[in-house]
Amino acid sequence: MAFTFKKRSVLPGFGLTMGYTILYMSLVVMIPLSALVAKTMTVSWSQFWETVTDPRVVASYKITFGASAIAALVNGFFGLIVAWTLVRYSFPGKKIVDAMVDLPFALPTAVSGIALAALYAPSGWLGRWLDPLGIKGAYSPLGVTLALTFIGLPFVVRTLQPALEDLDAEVEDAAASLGATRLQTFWRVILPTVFPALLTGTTLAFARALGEYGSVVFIAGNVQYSTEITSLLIISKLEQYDYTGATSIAVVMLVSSFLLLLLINILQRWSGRRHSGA
Amino acid sequence: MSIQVRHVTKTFGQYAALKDVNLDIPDGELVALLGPSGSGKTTLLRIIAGLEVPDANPETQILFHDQDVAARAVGDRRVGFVFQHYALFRHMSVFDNIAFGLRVRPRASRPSKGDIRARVHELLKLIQLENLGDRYPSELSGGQRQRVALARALAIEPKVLLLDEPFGALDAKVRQGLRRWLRDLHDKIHITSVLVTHDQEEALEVADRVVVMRQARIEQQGTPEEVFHHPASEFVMDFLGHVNLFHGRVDAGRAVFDGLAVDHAAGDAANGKAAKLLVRPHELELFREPNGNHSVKATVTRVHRAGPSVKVELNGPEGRELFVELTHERFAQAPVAAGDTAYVSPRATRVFVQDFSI
Repeated sequence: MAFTFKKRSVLPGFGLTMGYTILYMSLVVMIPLSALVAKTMTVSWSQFWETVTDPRVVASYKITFGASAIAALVNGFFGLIVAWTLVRYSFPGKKIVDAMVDLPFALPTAVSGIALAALYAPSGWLGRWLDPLGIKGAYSPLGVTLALTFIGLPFVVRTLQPALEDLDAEVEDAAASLGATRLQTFWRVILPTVFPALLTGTTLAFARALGEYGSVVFIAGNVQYSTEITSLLIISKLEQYDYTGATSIAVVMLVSSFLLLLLINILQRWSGRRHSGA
Repeated sequence: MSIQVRHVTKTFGQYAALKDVNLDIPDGELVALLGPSGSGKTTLLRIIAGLEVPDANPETQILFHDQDVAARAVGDRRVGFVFQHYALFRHMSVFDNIAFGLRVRPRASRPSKGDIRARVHELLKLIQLENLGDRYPSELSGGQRQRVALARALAIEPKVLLLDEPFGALDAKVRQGLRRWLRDLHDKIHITSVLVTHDQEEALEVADRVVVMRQARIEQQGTPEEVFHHPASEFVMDFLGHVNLFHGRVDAGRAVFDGLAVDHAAGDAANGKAAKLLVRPHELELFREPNGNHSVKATVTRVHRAGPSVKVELNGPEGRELFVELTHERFAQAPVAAGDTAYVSPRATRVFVQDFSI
């Protein structure tokens, strides 16, 4: 097959739009990231390896990736319910609930972080009730997960909504007429149909959580080897003027995030392969 | 299994989709519900299936083989439903689509894997898609998808087959093929079937009986011959094919239309009432000269000779359009061209006088 960039089209503009795409991607994404890598390359390999495998740093990877993954999964589950409710039912105040979904997007992350910390602290409104039960809402890995769940929710809901709206009502009628119960219809028909969208939303929530800083640091308590997230370590290295140390960790985050997203994308391609057409 | 619908009314908000509809469908027949969009035919079908619930009324009954199924959910009625846009499960292969209805059965009544496989293969053979079991719906043509949808509906061994404009989304050619195939299939398996369509040709060609619906009511029902040749109303006649319409009045036992007069035995009560004369294009004759019969003078505007018959469009009195359909032989005897003056006279007519007809 010939490798062609261009397809003849009635509407011109491929050259122009492609040019802008490359320029924009370069300016906004590629150049800063290259600079990051370039800066890291000023240190020797052994120094780099020492920095990024420091036990404290490794512990931060664990909490960051672990809490992000759990938060994304929780959002995947509850986000599906929220999106389903918003798409399928009409109830008073629906518009308000719908608008509220976007709040974690809009709120400055520090504000949500402080709010969550105040709420889940042992003296806070919710923390007060959790503390006697032995559950530490704030200043614990649970707190980190809570904050990451909070900021990830809109991604799942907003990607699922159009997919759920697109669902063909006739398909559900068909399943019902064939004798499927509502649960069977959901499990065998609806879920597989919206699965690619669910996967996309969950991936976005996960990716967002990996890089989150503002909302986490307040509720995390930043205990070494426990609730210290990688972004925080990067900041603290910067504060100590250890720029190459900071960029080294950042490069690890960059590469691992990229690989994870790539993997999920491949997964998505695979699951979405048959979903084209009716 | 016979189906009886008793006193079914359905309203959506302010809009009445069905008004006190009663319908009997004998066992093993293929019945077409025919009507324009908004006539309530699809709603009636969905109510029979259980996908829609009729308005609450103690007289309302939906009987399958004399058993009231009104309270039963769609899944318990054992109906096969075929949708206009196929409604296939796009993430499942053709095989899995057809097997769906068997696999969702409760464990106790679910056939074994081997039985399901055998049943699906049998159905694939029936729809002549034996080698396409592994394909996904997106890899099939429209006609193939609709056959898969039909096989999926038949897999549960339904007692009733309900088809909602099943060929509506297909090309004319595929449509005709599938139509004949459906008729053959019905002759083979004799399952009571209800077909919803707005295509009169489809209804007349496929069905044992045609039920013409209009504005939430049944307008007429009968065999295709009955409804075509003896339409009960102007609506039915107009809906079942092209008609030429003449306005006139009843006068002394005759209905008089511009230049035409037809004996009308409705009695004196009808005198002075407005009447309508309806004539199908193939029931009109075309002459170059007035021939002594009652006729209408008109100007030929267009002649279509491509096709099994010759279609002539004319401009009649008061600028009314007239359509005449002739055989090629007949046309050759008195050919006309656009611009010619011609005389049109009816061979068979139907007069509809306000409120009653002959």
